[in-house]
Amino acid sequence: MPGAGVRRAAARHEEAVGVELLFAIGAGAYGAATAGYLAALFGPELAFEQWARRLLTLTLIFWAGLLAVWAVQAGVQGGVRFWLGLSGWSLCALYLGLLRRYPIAALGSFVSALATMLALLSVFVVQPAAVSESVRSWLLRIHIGLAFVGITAFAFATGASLLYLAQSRSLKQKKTGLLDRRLPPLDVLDQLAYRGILVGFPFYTLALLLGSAQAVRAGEGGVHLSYVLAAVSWVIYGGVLQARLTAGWRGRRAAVLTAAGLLAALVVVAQYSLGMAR
Amino acid sequence: MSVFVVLGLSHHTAGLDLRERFAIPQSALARTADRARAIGCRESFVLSTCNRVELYATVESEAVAERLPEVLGEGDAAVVRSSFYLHRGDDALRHLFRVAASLDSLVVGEAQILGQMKEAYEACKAGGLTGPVLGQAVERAFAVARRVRAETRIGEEPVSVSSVAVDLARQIFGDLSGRTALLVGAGEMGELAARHLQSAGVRELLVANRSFERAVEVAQALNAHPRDLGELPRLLVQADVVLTSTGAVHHLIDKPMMVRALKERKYRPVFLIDIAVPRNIDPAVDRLDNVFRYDVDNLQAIAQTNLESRRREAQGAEALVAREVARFVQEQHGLAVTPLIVALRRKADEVKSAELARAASRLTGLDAGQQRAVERLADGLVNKLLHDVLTNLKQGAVAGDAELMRAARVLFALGEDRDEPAGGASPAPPAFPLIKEP
Repeated sequence: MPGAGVRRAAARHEEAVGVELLFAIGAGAYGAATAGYLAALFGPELAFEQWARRLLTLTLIFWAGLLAVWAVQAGVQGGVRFWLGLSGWSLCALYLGLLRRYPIAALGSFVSALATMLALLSVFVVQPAAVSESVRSWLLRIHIGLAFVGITAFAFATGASLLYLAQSRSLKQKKTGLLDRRLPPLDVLDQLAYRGILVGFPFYTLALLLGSAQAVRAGEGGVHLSYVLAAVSWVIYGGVLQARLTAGWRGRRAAVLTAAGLLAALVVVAQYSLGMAR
Repeated sequence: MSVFVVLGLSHHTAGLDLRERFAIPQSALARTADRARAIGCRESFVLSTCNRVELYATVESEAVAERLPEVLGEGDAAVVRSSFYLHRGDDALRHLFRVAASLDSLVVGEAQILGQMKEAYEACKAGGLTGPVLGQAVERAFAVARRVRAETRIGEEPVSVSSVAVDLARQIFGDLSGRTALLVGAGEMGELAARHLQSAGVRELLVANRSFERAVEVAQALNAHPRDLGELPRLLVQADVVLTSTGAVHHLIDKPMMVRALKERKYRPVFLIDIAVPRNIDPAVDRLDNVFRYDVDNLQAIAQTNLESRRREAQGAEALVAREVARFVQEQHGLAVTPLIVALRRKADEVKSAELARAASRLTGLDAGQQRAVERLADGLVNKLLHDVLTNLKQGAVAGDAELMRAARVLFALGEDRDEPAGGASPAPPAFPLIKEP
């Protein structure tokens, strides 16, 4: 007969497998919504967009329950997984909310794809026990929360920027077709990208300040790739914002830089999520 | 037997001079349709647009059909006979469905024709000139036209230079209601495109011309604000959409001018539409970010691509229309057998009632339950015998088997007078010969 300790360990293992399965199902649902949005964007059948939107709404309801349960079960130790899930969820919720006001249906393909990626990352995220003890620090918890809010806003801005690049390229080539008419207007995309950066930048700045303070407090000196990439993304977004506010700088270069900034920030997130960075 | 017919001419068959000659103003549509009734048409409605003049009617005989040219061409019946088409039955029905679905239009997929048809039909209906045959056919044609628009992309992409320009402006700016447009030059094409932009919601229109007097004149006509052409560099800062159509032989807007304007407008995007030949805007501005320049060739190329796309969509729409025409005709044939079925049932009920009455005089001493059992027996026999007969008659009607209908009348001794409806009006045989669903 196995001892009580073995039984408890087996129960914990089964519970962990069950949770991971739920996260995987959630990731799959985001993936299905992405496929629907892509079919609507490139395929002949516009009705796919409505189906994709309904599926995304249902997926968000599923994730809301999953995140609530996870927050209660795993507590603060499950922080990174929770924030990854919440980030994807917020991104899609923001999209569905803005869809009521702006003709941005095509943006659904980007936000649902990014949510899929974040959800998959949350499936493979290192187990809470493997996360550094320092995650218990309140400073670090606030740092992670603020960083995810900022990155979610940047992700939305990047989605808008990528569609801006596609629309702008098409208009410059003077060969507009059905696909281009399904993309949102250039000016709407520009406004959304700008506002995304405007909202995300203060959160991201605070997150970096708190992260630096935590590193100093924990005596984590030296230069790490994650620190450098975080600083690079901050400089990019700061620069784009400053140029926009002072000189009205916008257009393709701003869109490319917005996407580059997110890429740097996501590498940092992936490093932390997979336990590859301190 | 009434037959559905259409007599008309369109852009396919007649030049503008002939179409102008036979055009009928909206106010005279019902009056013209009334003339059709005067020569013996049961129902009629007249459609007149810049691309077609058509009379739809139901006629009782070929003699009436032969007189239809008199309706559209008072005194010109000979011209009508030589230049107009006359379709009958399913051909006429197919034509009606295709016209409503904009498959017969000059610009395939244009949306105006359906509205024009509805107006024309309502005018004739209000005059009491339409009836059940025409009404059902027209209402179904409208429904199919709506399906064509909903289920295909036939009307999705713009096909005129002006509408392509407006569509592009919307792709750049979205809502145009807060935008300023500048018309440079006072040509007819420019005015037309400017009107399109205005109707798309542009908030303010400025008109600049070398001759300020002419700018004032055009601005008044367009409810716009006149400007001097010398102000052009400043106007480029102000305007989001710039439309050039001057006769200048050199570029009015070059790259350095645009670079300065962009800086001053804080790099807000600008849409330049150059419909002048030779071009008024230096193509080198294409290299600038946030500047979108289209010349007349670019716009025409997009319009042509869209037109080809519409033609492809039209193939799907044609198949849909053909299916719906066949279905409508089959339904009409199904309805036509109703009087025969009513007569057969009536006769069976009469026979059953008579036989029950005769039997009742011989079967004395039956209690109420036994009487009900005898009646149920009679009902059962009649229903079982008629079930297969009625089913086959309905199927035969849908298949257009007129011989079967005649045979049924002979076999069951149903005289022609027996299937008249209670009101005394003669039954309406289908006005469309049967066609098979493709």
